[in-house]
Amino acid sequence: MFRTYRTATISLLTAAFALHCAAQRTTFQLEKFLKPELGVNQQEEKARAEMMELLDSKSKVVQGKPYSAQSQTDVVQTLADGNRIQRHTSSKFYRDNSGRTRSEQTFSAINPSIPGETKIFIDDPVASVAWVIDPGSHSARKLVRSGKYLAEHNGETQPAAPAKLPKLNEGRDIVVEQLGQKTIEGVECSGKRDTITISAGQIGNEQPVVIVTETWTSPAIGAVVQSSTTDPRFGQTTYQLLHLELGEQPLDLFELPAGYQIEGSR
Amino acid sequence: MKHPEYELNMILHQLHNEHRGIEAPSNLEDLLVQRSRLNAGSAASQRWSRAWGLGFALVVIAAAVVWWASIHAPSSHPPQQIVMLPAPAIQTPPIQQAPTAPQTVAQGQANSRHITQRGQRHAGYSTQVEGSVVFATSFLPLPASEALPEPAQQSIVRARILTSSLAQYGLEVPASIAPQLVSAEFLVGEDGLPRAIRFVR
Repeated sequence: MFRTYRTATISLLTAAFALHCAAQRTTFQLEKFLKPELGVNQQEEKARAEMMELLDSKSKVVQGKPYSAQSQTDVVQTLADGNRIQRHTSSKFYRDNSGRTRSEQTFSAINPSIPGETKIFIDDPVASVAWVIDPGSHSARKLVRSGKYLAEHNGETQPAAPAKLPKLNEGRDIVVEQLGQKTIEGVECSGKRDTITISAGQIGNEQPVVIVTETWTSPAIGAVVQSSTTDPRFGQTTYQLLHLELGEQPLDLFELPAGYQIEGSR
Repeated sequence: MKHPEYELNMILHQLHNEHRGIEAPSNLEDLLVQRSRLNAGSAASQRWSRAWGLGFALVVIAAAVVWWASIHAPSSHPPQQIVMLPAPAIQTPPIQQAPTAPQTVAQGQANSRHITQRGQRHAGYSTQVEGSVVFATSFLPLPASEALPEPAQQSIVRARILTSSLAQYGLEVPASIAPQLVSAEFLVGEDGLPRAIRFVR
């Protein structure tokens, strides 16, 4: 009996040692074979993650209200530990008297790792074409606008937004207040305040969540000039038009610059 | 001179003659036989002991290997289909609106159902782009843009994103799902902020 116990004990110790060695060997092999691959994969994933492509842009065709402006958007989110996450995006916008538009936009709000990459979109309802321009790769893609598309996006006959999304704030308590008139960047703006209240328990919240958005819109340009949103869940967002200039814009702004390689149209 | 081997043989022959009359006791053979049988039985017992010990050790080793493999092997659970959007081609993990406060399981399930129903109302689409068919789901409004002003201009931006980064838009992927890259299209306002997302393949 004693010999049985002795044999079993020795076997168990041997087995434990063998298992330990196997684990060490497996770990070693994983480190040996996966580490270089992880490095490559990480680089590939980073490159793929950085790929960002502007496909299309849709807006109302607004005629007779030409202007140019820069805009900047700042999102500041304060975390529970006091840390802050800040994101900043900027853009330039041009519109001529015929409703042609040009927007130069960065999309760092989508991918903060590439804040400086600018995409240009030119919409020309007169020529029924649109251009997606990528200054980074010096390439452009042509989009053909159909008559139906232009009719649907004509501001006079179809003042609605270009695409209707299902409302997320269904069931919310929304209070709208008119804030009167105010001059911002030299144009008269009318303001309103939307207060959205998510009642207690709706999303597991102990107290009501109050989200406040103030929006100042200029009828002269048919666009929002200033807005701010305070959402306790996602922080504070401010949007501001800067260097607003009313007046006709040069036609070459709405044409494809020379030297760009044209890719397949859609 | 006599050969040394001859002398040795002579001595051995003399010894043989001197001890010819000596015989072993009559019971010695029986005692040796009994002792031999006893030793044989003991050896068999030892062999059985060793066999039992080795067998027990093998069982323990097998159990340990199974336990170790179950810990280190990747999860055998099949990838879960997205629950909020109906497009069958999308192989993305289930996504829920990120709760900003403690949320019960029942509430989370209710939210998932709500999103699923909304997705079913707005079917996905497929379109031909440069010779390849692109499948996409319908746009899902982002909770982070719930209170933002309605955009006058909507740009569609396609990007490869990690599912773990969806939290910044108010969408949450269960922690049990490993981060993976997915193709997504964002509806972005003129302020550069995304309003909605859809997944494409």
